[in-house]
Amino acid sequence: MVIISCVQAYLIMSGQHLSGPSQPGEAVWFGPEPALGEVCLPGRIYIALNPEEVLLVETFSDTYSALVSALGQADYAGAEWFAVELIQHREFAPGILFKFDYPVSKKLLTSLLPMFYETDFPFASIDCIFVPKEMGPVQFINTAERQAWQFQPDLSWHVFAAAVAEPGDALEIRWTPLPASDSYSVAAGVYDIAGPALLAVPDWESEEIDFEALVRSFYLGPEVIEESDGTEIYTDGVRALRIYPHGAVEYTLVSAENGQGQLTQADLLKMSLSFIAGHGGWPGRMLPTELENSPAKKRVKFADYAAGLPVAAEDTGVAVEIDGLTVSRYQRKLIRAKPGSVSEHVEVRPFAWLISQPTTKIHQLFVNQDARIHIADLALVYYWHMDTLIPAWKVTLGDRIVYAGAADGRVLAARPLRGN
Amino acid sequence: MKSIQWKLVLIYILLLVFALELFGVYMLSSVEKHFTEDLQKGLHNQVRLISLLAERYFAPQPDSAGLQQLVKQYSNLVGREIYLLDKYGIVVAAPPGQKLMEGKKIVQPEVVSAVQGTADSSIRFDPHTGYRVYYYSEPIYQLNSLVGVVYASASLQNIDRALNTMRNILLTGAVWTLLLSAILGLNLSSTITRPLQKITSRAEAMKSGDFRQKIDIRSRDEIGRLAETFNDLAAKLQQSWDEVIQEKDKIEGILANLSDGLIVFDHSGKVMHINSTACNWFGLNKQVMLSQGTAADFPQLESGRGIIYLEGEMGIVLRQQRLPFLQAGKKQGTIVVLSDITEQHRLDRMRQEFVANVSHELRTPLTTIKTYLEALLENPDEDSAIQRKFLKVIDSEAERMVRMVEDLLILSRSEIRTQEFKLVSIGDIIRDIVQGVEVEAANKGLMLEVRIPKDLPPVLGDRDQLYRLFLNIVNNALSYTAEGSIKISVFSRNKYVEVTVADTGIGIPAHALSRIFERFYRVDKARSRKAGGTGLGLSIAKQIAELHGGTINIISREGHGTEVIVPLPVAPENVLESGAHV
Repeated sequence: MVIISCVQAYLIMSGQHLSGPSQPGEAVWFGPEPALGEVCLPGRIYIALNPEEVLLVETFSDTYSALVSALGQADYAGAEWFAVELIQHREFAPGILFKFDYPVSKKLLTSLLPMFYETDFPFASIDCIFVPKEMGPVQFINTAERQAWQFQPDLSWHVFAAAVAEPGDALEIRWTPLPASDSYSVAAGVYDIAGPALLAVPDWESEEIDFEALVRSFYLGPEVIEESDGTEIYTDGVRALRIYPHGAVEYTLVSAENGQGQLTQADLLKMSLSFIAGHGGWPGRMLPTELENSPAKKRVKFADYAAGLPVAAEDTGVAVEIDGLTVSRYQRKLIRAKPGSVSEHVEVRPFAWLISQPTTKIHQLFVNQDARIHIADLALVYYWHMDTLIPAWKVTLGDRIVYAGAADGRVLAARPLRGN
Repeated sequence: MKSIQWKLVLIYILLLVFALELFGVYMLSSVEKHFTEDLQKGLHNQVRLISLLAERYFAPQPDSAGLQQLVKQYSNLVGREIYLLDKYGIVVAAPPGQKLMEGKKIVQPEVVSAVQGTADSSIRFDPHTGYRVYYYSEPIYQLNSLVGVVYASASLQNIDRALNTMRNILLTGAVWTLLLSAILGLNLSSTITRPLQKITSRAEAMKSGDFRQKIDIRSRDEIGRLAETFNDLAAKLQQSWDEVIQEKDKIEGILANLSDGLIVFDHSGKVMHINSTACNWFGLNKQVMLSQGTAADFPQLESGRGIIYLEGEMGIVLRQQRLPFLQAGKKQGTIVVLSDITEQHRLDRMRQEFVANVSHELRTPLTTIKTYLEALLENPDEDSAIQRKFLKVIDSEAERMVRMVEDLLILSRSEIRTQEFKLVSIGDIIRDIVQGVEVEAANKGLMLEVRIPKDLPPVLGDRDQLYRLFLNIVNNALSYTAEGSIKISVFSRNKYVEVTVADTGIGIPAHALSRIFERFYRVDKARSRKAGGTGLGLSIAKQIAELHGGTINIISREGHGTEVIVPLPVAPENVLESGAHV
């Protein structure tokens, strides 16, 4: 009795529950949780016909799936790794360049390449994988460090050879390596469109969520605060689930853990996928486009893809932020393209051309810099702005990300780049 | 507080009070800290949450309506007073009931600190409610720019009340605990003290000399071992005590039966020991002396002289001998050994007197003889009648000297020949004496009456000495009786043969009765010499009587006569049966 009393007193004083609380979300089911291998996929796949001519495969197209699947079957053949210094884009042609929007750790890479062990890889992380057309060594590339590790695995070479020989499911836009200039340098594997081209902008619709189920997945009996613009806040005083009138969802938990605890990329993604699946469900056809895993912040953002290109904006997609080992923030607003629909065609211009035009805002932004800018990545996206999908260049610089209109070079948004 | 049981209980209670006090202070402070931290943590979370929720209303300018609605509902929801301030510290949205605060600037330190970008807090006493209030302020950032401040407060009323309640519960519990513990402590401590009390009572009994005490404690703990040791100690003490008592009795017996007196004084003069002999001599009570006697009670000893006279020259004479009383080589006092030398002293005096008397008695006839001889030598031609007269005087004096010497020889002989006794008939002796003095008695005109029974038993003795004894008595009667009669009667009574010689003479003065047996003592010296006595007759008679186990009793009245009674023991029957010659 004395021992039990002491234990109970200790538990009470240390603020712990004597019995486990019921989990609100247990009774609500939004669908299955995706496997890590389903989302640990490259954001873009370039088919390098030759060093100057490159095609961009539509993400989630059949070709994309075939190439990813073929890559996933790569087997360790026992050959030696050797490192090379990355010099120029010509090293990536002809062949297939798989490009990730974030540095992929070797542990997470084993989700994409299940025949490998984490210890098989001699590097810490990479952001590109180049598979040559003619059975040459496969390069695992870290563009930020300008390093590549070559290795000769067993592969279904014919799949890659066929993709190069007869490119399918590629945008009808020719790409070419972005050349460096006096005002900026360019990382390896950065491609710009070769010339002006018309880009079909799909029609869109917002994701429809069962809000009642969503609320129940968080609370048993929350209090509701109604804001002046019609926004509803479901809260218990410590957590708040905000449902905006336009359908966006924002969940906030004030955590006292202050960044304590460490996670691997795989753990971060797993936790995020689990949380998303339990609170609104996994909508499919999403890939992580931003992944930060530092002691200060652990955040992953998944972007929807429309017509093979990601839909990007600050307030679109699904973002999960983890503080310590608890999800402290969850934002969800999905702009989903209507399959096969085209709302308009927009003429997009090469980034190099836009940046060279003194009249464009992006030119002004670049010119006004004190030091030479380094362009780490360049991607064509649909930027969600004012209820419109706008073709835009997502320019990843050394310290920030800038969204510039692909038609007119206007700066749509700029935000600091968080560490990975 | 003489009992160890109460001491144990008191210590127990004091320790308990200390422990309860420590526990209470620790408990209350821990609970207060826990509750306060919990409240602070909750308020911090609420402030942080509302700052996140309010963030969108601050850009580009604070949306007062949106913020006020948010604050109103959130304050109601969490039950706190929450203010939203702009970046200058001016209230944009106040909780319900505090609307007047909107538009006013708050200058509390924690708000000033938050306006400068740092979250801050403080606890202040609210005079209106009488309870403490926790205030917390946190800045609101938007894109790294400070856009506003959340200012919230939470009353610590519930915590203070809970602490007061807990304090009362602890106090009541402590009182009951102490009470119950005291009762339990008394019972428990008695299990320790009861055996100790047993041991103590046995030890008290041992203190009074009863070493046969035994303690019946069978525990294996320290008290059990103490009891075993006590029992062993008691047994050994009993054995030692018995030995000491035996030794003491032995020594006391020796000292008590010692003919010498023994007094032991300590260095302060207090009597440490005195035996009965010494007490009797000094006429003191032994127990009183042993308890409170001092050297002052023996003033006779203080002179330090070797010879001490008690009760004057004729009393007891003691010889004092002082010895140091040593213990472990150190002098602890003085031992005084007193020996009774009264008899020795008396004999010395008698000897001195005897020598003086003999010298005197011999010098007198010698002087007379010398005088008459010188006269004869100086006058050889003196008349022969005168010469004859002188020679008769010389012869008479010489005769007296002879008698005196004979008497002295008899005295010395009787002292020597004490064991050569035979059966003697007193009647025969008396008849012989009467036959010898009949003529002289008739010449003096005295009637001599003699009564001797026929069946008179014999006595054991020396016939010559007995003859001398009774002859001296009869001669004395003849010498000091001028007229009347002398009655000599012999009879047997109580295994004694008693001879009585009664005369009608001049008698003896009362003051002389006690000295008439001294050698050379004469009541009337001139008359005695004239009668031809040597002054040794009665001494010889007394000595002979005492040598034969008898005595001489004299009853006399001056001017009326003297009666001398000599009882002598009849010879023992075993001697009679052996047929000793009479």
